[in-house]
Amino acid sequence: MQNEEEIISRVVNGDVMAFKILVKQYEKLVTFMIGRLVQNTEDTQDLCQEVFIKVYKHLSGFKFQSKLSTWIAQIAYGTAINHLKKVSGKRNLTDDVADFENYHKTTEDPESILIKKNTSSFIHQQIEQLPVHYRTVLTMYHLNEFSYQEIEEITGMPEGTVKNYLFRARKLLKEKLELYMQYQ
Amino acid sequence: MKELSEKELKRLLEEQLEQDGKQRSPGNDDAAFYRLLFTALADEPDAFKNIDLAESVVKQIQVNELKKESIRYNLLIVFVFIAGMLSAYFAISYISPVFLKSALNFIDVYKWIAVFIILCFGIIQIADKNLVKKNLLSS
Repeated sequence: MQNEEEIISRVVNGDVMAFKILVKQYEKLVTFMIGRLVQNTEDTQDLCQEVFIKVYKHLSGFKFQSKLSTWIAQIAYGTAINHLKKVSGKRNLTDDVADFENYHKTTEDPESILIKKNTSSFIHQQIEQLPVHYRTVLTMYHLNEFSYQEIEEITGMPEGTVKNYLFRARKLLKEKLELYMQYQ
Repeated sequence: MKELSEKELKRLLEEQLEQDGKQRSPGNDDAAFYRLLFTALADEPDAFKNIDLAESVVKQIQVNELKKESIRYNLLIVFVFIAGMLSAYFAISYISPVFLKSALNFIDVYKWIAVFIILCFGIIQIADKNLVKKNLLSS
């Protein structure tokens, strides 16, 4: 694998093909984040593309003060949040606690739970119903494997909040899973 | 049932990662459910696996570069045209003011034809650029 700094300097000097290597390296990071936050597959690809075009435009400003993955994740997070604000208004992002309560109280029909293919797809379906901030920290921590500090840097949420969201989201999913397993 | 603390959850997750994430059937305790949950959380969602971005991103960047280049080129043409007209005006007015007057009269008579020619040139340029852009995106 080529050195990241070398690739970046080639991209900054106008080598578009070098950027292709960078996109391949970070496409999972961006697609997972955007995919989980936005949840509309039609928009996902356009937004992922938008993220990488922003990365390309601003790469000369990247000063290696953080990991490149953290910097790209910051751009992806900002892009996804802006898109969500545009599409569903600010309410959807700020009413997370209420959403969480509703989500917590709603219990699905056991029969409909039973038809879910398997535990993994059941959990993924449940994640989709979580409030956006919960989905964010879950995805970043478990799928993208960022640390609490990195999630703080990316999202601007204090570390305590990150831990709290993560804890509550996992607890919530665990309870759903328990219910699911009971009916299986 | 006793709730697991954040530290215990982290330890569980670390254990889970070490065990290569094989799905196990949970028992009655919280830890087993969390193990199962962590395995599922680390699974890549199927819906996002098949998105090939690199090619489309590079194409889009090339299109954007082309657009930028064409704007620069068009601005240069406009600049050269205006500079040429101004220098011709001042040169003719210095060499022969009488010829300048008749030239201005000629332009005044045929100004709409000139505007039409300039418009046609502009439209052809835009159409050409759009065609190139379309071909680049579809290739």
